[in-house]
Formats: sequence, structure tokens, C-alpha cells
Amino acid sequence: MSKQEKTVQVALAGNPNSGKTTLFNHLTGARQRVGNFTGVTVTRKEGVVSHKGWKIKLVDLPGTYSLSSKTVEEKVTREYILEESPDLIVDIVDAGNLERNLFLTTQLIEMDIPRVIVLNMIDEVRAKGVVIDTSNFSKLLSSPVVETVGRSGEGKDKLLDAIVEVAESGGKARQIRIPYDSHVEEAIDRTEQHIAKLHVGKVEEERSRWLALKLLEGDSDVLLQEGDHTDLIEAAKEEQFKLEESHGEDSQTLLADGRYGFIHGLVQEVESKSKSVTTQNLTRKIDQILLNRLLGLPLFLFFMWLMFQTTFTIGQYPMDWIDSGVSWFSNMMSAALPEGLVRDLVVEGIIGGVGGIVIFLPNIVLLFLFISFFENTGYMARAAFLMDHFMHGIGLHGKAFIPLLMGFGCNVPAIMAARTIENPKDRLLTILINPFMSCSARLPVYVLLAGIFFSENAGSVVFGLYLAGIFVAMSAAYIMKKTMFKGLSDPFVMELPPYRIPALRSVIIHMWEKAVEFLKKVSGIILVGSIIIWFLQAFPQNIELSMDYGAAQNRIEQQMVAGEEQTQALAKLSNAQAQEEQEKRYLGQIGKTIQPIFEPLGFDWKGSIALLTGFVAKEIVVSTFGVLYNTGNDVDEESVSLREAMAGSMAPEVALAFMVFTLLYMPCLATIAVIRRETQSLGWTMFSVGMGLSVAWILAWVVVRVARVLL
Amino acid sequence: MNKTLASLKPGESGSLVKIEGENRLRQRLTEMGFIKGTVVGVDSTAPFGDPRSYSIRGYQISLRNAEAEQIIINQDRVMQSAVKENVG
Repeated sequence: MSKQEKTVQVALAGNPNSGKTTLFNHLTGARQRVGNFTGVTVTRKEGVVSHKGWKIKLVDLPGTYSLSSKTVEEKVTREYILEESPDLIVDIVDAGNLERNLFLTTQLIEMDIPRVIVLNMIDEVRAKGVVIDTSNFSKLLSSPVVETVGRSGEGKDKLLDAIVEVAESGGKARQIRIPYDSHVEEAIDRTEQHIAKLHVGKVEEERSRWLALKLLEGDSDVLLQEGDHTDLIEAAKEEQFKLEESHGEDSQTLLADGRYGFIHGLVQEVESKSKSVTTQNLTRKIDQILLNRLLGLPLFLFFMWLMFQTTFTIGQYPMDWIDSGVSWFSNMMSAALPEGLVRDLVVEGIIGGVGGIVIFLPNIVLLFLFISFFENTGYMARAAFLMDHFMHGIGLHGKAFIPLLMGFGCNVPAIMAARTIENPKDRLLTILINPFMSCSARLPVYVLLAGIFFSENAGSVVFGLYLAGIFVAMSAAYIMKKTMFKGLSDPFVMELPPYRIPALRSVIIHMWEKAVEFLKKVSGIILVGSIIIWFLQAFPQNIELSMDYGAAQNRIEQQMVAGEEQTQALAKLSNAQAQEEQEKRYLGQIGKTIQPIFEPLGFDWKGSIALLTGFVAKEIVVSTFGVLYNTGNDVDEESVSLREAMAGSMAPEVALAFMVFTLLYMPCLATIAVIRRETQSLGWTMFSVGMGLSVAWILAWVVVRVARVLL
Repeated sequence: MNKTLASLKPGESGSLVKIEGENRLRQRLTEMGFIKGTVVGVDSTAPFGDPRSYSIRGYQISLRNAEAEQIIINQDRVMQSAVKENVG
């Protein structure tokens, strides 16, 4: 590698399902930087490759069907191209679906950006006995055309060669014009003349044609950008009106007609069937089963069940390993550090807090393994298809089902998955109801309480809580859609991509990204939260106790005969001491202060504190109970000592209300952070917290009243 | 005879005449290749009869029935274009 490498900025564009990201992963490997496009929540992936003395900087643009800036993805793609003006664009085309994929290509051609066209998944085309004449294709589009297979990485080097070739030529290639109907061409001419007068010598020939086309289409962004030139806009509007009048169709349709006409001609010329292969359409056959009107839904529910079942059963093994790893580390630190506050902070605060959450990493990784598998096989779109009728009934898009479902794992990635929903209102609504879906962190709380108070029917109670969460989410969506989110929802125009075997590499990279995302959350917000909670329960250090426990201990030791009775008495005493200490520390003081709010629900101060700490992460509720019932915070929901200590401390109906409250009350700290990031609005974040708290309180109150009568 | 796409039964197809209704839907569909004369066929139906999936230009797309009702197709013309394709 020479020190003065030449650099070329390359953007990858293409339709959704064109295998763009798989190809990107092949080009860059794991050396990727994942971020966001400025101001919007669309993932931006970047990577660098060196090839033939060139440093190729790649950006993976979001998948789009067009550049008309109606969806966030389209806007981002267009703004990136116009404002960051990459040196060249790699346009990834699904070779098996040329016509629709080339629509985006025609728009890129009109923007006149140097480009390389990639015919991806060429293997599928070959299998069908279709041959594409790439050299002719390349000539007709005046850009290199490369055949690739994203899954295997075939053609990767040729693509890099082509990028370097275009970069070295400086991107000068013969310009291509998409020809339109003669009336349209005349209107373009007149508009271009107008533009030339306004921006003398500033607008290159092809850019001016593009500008004219966009004006004739009535593109809102371009109209805004040219807002100062009122007479240009007036003239363009006039042309648009005349065209629409004489053809009886809107200008966008007329232009699309022209583009598809061009594409049709192109495809006719480059595509030919070499041999007659009787292609059995596998996708169609699979759909006959998976989208079957009777079998489709049960099969879908079965897959979902399988996903959760596998996630939690297989996940148990790595969870146990992490658990013992954390205990080992914790013991080691205990031994290494001198007794005192620092040790308590490290062992109880940091290792205890973070360790209790890292344990969920296997679940998250496995859940995303499935999600990524569903996405990459093409089943995800089918799931949306199957669920759309139901989701539409509550005012949501079929695609919203997936983020909601993922909410059962963890609301953080689930809320991020809402990015697939194009309409901003639908997306916001999906984000707001997501915390009602019972995430896996809430499960330990249910297992603990249901196990103690409803040991006979623990399974049914837990299942009921999950259903309750779904019901609340659906009702909330329905009500908000009818009130605050009135208006049109997105048209349900969704591609059902052909079934494909996912590329292992892509699935692994996807899982890796999610794991890193989760660990970042843990190392940031959860670490800080754990330290705060630890501080609140360890301070103030000097508290006045109601009796001299040390003296009492001495008395017992001297007066009682050593034996079981003495041990019990000592345990009882130290329990009482720890409880009093807890009560008098800051956390206990806060718990006592807020307890009146929970009085009508029947929660005592211990419950109030547990809920407070659960704000950091809901599973902490269990370890807080551990501390408060003084079985030590080294407990889990299966711990017998904690169960014994808690039994009898609450009435069953209160326990039930407590679980309902845990299910619904405000999202955990990390979820709040992600809501803030995804909605880009503090107002909506506060709304989400407020809604959760009020719904939780009201429903817990109802549960406690109703259950008192029934139980 | 002109019909709406929603009135077609699974397995049937027709050639697109025009897209009615709001602009947003029309623009989206136009970009996805719903151009006058394009052949659209009905594939499968979701469990409650809505949405349905269609094939167009060699790929599959799903539309709600309310949207398919805005799409006017002609079943006579599809015969002709099918004949033409066979000859060509």
C-alpha cells in the first residue's frame, strides 16, 4: 500500500431485496462503521476497501425503489447523492427482476452520476436459462456492468476493478438520455431554457434536464429549492398543467411511462433465453403452504413460538456460563479489594448491576438470529402480509407486527426495528406502544411473584400477563389512531421477495451488530444507573438505629446454647438490622415518600422501592427484593430463600397488581433513551413515560379491586 | 370490460388501464411498474381475504383490497398481449 493512496467515495444504491447489504458485507467484511444519517433514524453503514492503489470508501445507502423523496429512505438517498456528491454510485440491480430494479437506474442516469451497474444474484437468472448480454448492456447504459452473486461473493473483484476503472477515468462517460413522449420533450426543452436564463452557465446540461424533469413532476423538494424563482415555478406549473390536460394523466405517470418504455426496450435487447428450462417456481410453491389461507396463520404462530422457545431454552446455557463467570469475577474482586466502600461499589454496584443485565445477551443474540433469518429468507414480508388485516384493524401497518413481536425480547432493538415503517406517524405509534409488549427482563419478576403467590397456576398467570400486554398495546394504538394520529396511513404496497437461502455472513454480521448495540447500552446507561442505585442504597452511611444490634447479638451468643435455635435467633436479628438500615438509607426514604402513591394499589414501601429500581432495568426488581427481604441481592427468581421470605408479605391480589404494574409502567432507562433517539423528541419521550405510568396505575388498581372479589 | 383489480379471483389476470384515487398511491405504484398495459395477476390471499398478493413484471407485491379497488384493469386486453408475447 502506498502512502499516497488515491481515494474514491462510492455509494451503494439499489432496491430493497436487491442483495445490496449482503454485497456490502462481502466488500467490507467486518470492518464497518454503523451510524445514522444526520437528523434521521436511517442506518448508515460505511466501510473502506483498498484495491489497486485506490482507497475505496463505501457507503451503503438505504434500499429504495425510487428517488422521489416520499419516504425517509428516498429522501436520505437523494440528499446524500445531491449534497455529499459521491464520486460514483454502484447501482445494485436484482438481475432476476430487471424491469423494476432499473427504474431507480433511470433516475440515477438522469442525475448524471458516474456509475457502475451490478447485476446481482446472476446465479438465479442463469438457473432459469436466461442470458444477459452484459457488454451490450454496458454500451447501452454507458457504464460498466458487472455480474455478481452476493451470497458467495462471486464477481466481487470484478466490481472493485470496475470501480477503479471509473475512478481513474474521472467518471467521464457518454451521457445517456431517457427519451420521453414528444410533448414531454418539448415541455422539458422550454423549462430548460428558462433554467438556463436563471442560472447562466452554472447548471451543466444534464443537471438542467434533471431539474426540468423534477419541476415538471412537481417535486416538492426541488420546488422549495427553486422557491426564489417564482416565474420559473409558474412556467413549470403551466407546462405540467398543459401536459396533464392533453394526456389526461398526471405528469409523474407520463414520466414513469417514458422510463419504463426505455427500460422495456433495454431489457428486450440484452436479455435472452438460452435454453428452454422449465422453471418450477419454488417461491410460488412455498407460498402455497406458508401463505395458505388456513395454514398460513397457524404456521406463522408456530414459527414465532419456535423462535421464543429456542431463544429461551438454548439461551439458558450461555446464560449459565455468563452467570458463573460474573460470580467468579465478583468473588475474585471481593478477595482482591480491601473491605470498604470501594469494594462494595465495585462488587455490588457495578458487577452486580451490569452482570445482571449482560446475562440477557444470549437471548438478544438468538432472537436476532431468528429475526435476521426471517428477514433474509423473505419470510418477514410474508409475516406482515399475514398479519396486516389484523394490524390494520387497530390502525397499524402489517410491518408494525414485527417490532411489536420483538418487544417480547427487548424493547430496545424492537423500537429500532420500527425503522422499517415508512410513514412517520405509523412509526411513532409503533414506538409508543412497544413498551407494553412484555420484554424478557420482566419475566423474572413474574416468575418470582407468580411462583410464590400462584404456584398452582404460575404458567397461566405469566401467559395472561403477556396477553394483557398485547391487549393494552392494541387498545392504546387504536385509541391514539382515532384521536391523535388521525389521517391517512401508508398505502400497503409491499414487495414479497422471492424466498432465498440467507448468506451466513450477513446473518452473523447482523447478530454481531445487535450484540454490540446491546453491550453499548449496558456499558453506558445501565452502568451509570447501577452506580446510582447502589449509592442510594448504601448512603447515608451513618444512620441511627433503633437499638444496639451488636449488643443484642452478644447477648444472644452468651445467653443461648449454641445450636439451631441460636442460629435462627441470630439470623432473625441480622435480618431486622439490615431491614432497618435499608429503610433509613436514601432509597428507603424515597420509597417511603412515594409509597402513598402506591397505597391504593396495596404496595408497601419495599414494593415501591423495587419499582423505583426497576426503572433502571426491570429485572432489577428481583434483586431489589433480594436486598429488601434480606436474603442478599445474590438472588434470582428461583431462589428458595427469597421465596420463603416473601411469602405472606403480600396478598395474592396485590402480587397480581404488582405484576401488572411491572408489565405496564414506564419503560426502562435504556428504552427511554432509545425512544428519545428514535423519535428525536423529548416531548414524545415524556409522553411515553407518562402514558405508561398512568395506564399501569389505573389497571393495577382495577386488578387489585377485581381480584380481591374473585380470589 | 373494465374491472377493478380487487374483483379478480386468484389465478386471474388483466392488463392495467389506470390507477384512480389519491396521488400518493398512484405515484408509488407507478414507480413499482404499474404502467398502462402492464399485466397484473392475482396470486394469494391473506387469511381474512385482505390483503392479497399480485404478480407484476416478474415479481410479487401485496396490496390491500381498498388499494386494489383503485386499480382499473381490463381482462380482454390481457389475452391479446399474451398472444403477442407468444408470437414474439
